[in-house]
Parts: sequence; C-alpha cells; structure tokens
Amino acid sequence: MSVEENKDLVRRYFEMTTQNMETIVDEILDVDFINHDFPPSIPGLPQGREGLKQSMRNIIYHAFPDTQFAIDDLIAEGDKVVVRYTYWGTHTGKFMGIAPSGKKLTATAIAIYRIVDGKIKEQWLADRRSTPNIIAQVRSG
Amino acid sequence: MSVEENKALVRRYMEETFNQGNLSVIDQLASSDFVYHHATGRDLSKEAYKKMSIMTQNAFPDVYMEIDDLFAEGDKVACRFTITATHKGEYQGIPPTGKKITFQGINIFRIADSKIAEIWSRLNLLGMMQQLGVIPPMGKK
Repeated sequence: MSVEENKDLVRRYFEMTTQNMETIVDEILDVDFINHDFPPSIPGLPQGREGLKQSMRNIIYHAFPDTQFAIDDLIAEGDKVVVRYTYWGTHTGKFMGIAPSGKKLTATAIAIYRIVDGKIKEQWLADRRSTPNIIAQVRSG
Repeated sequence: MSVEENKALVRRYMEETFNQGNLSVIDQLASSDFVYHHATGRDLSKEAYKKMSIMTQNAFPDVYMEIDDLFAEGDKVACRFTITATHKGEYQGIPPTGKKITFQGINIFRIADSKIAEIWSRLNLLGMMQQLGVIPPMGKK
C-alpha cells in the first residue's frame, strides 16, 4: 500500500463514533491487532481488537457517548503513520467512579500506527489525557 | 533539507539533549522562534523550554533515552522513544523518591531552514505518576 493509502486508512479510522465503532474497528484493525499498551491497560480487558472495542464501548462511550476525533497532523513513511489529534466528549455517564458532570472535556494525543496489507496491525499511543487530568477537569468549577 | 537530513537532525537532537545532557545543542539546533508543545498542554518558548530541561535534568540526572522508531515526511519527523531515569531530585513538587521509572513518549518535530522549529510531545504521564507512587495503579483504590 502507498503512503497516501495508509493515510486514508487512518483518516477513516478517525471517523469513529459511538454509532459505527465496532464496524470501523472490524473493518480497519487487523484481526491480530496489537495495542502497545501505553497508558497501561485496564485490568481484565483482553488484548487486541476485542479489548479495544470493550474499552471504547464500556468506558469511553459509556461516559462520553458523543466522543469525536479530529486529526491535527498526519505524517507517514513506509508502513507507519503518526497522527496528532484532538478528541472531545460530554461527560454524561459515570467515568472512573465519577458521576456525570455534564461537562465537555477535550484532550489531545499522538498515536503511531503500523499498516500491513491494508489493515492497522499495531498501535502505539501517547496520550496527555490521564486519570488525574480528567478528574481535575471534571471537578473544576 | 531532505527527509533523511531531517531524521539525522532529530536523532542528534534527541541523543545530545537526553543522553549527553548537552542542552547547549538547543541553542544550536532550535530556531529562534522555537515552540515546544508540552505534554501537559503548555506551550514553551525556547528559553522556557531550556529552563524546563534543566529542571528535568536535575530531577532525573541519569536519564537514558532510546529511540524505538523514527520516520519522516515533508518537514515533519516522528520519534517514538523510551526513557529510563531515577528520580533523584524534586520534580513538579514531588520530593525525590529514588525510584527508577521507565515510560514511553512520541515527539513530532517540524523542521524549517535546517532547524527544529516546533516539537509536539506526548508522554505516558499516567504510567510515570504511578511509578513514582503519586497515583495508584488502575484497579486499586
């Protein structure tokens, strides 16, 4: 696949919403997808594609059902794509034990994807969002 | 500058600032209007970034950085890296714990006129805070 096709694949991945999440993950992530775990995973979640779907459905979309992603920068070479992105959502469900606040939260992150045969095979994620940051935003006046 | 020259510039920058502790390379390799987009969301000028680097160096004097992946397109370079360091000095209000930490990060560099004009940096801050004992691991109270 060309670098432009790899970038288009990642653009499609970032069209993820609560409505299409499972479809997008099955379409774009390889069945043997490896999620290189940083931040550390939630205990009890399976690895790979299934764990990602569960964490998105049960944690992210449960707490922030309107979560959306916007790509700020996209760089690709060979089989790798790096994305710098912003995401936001409204806190309408319980998150990390915190009752819904109704607040809109925004965060940014950088992710690297390795593409093999038209699918995302591996992900490395570096996320400024961390539990204390989100809790602080939720609790702030 | 070519993509290969950009990658070499970033490699040198990362090696010298982290592993050689040579912060004077910031003056040499960063543009005068350099902006550092910190993982916590703050934007730092060149002078503020140098001050932050000195403070980080004092907190973690034995830091070792290893580049895990480096790729580039156009005027941008992506660098994924692993840092190990011992917490020997005060860091963001946390007194020295003596703990050895390891965490990953992804930096995106923008190159202009053979200099580093911007860095966007994202780190696994949560993992680092957990290792320093400030935040309990997920799943534990």
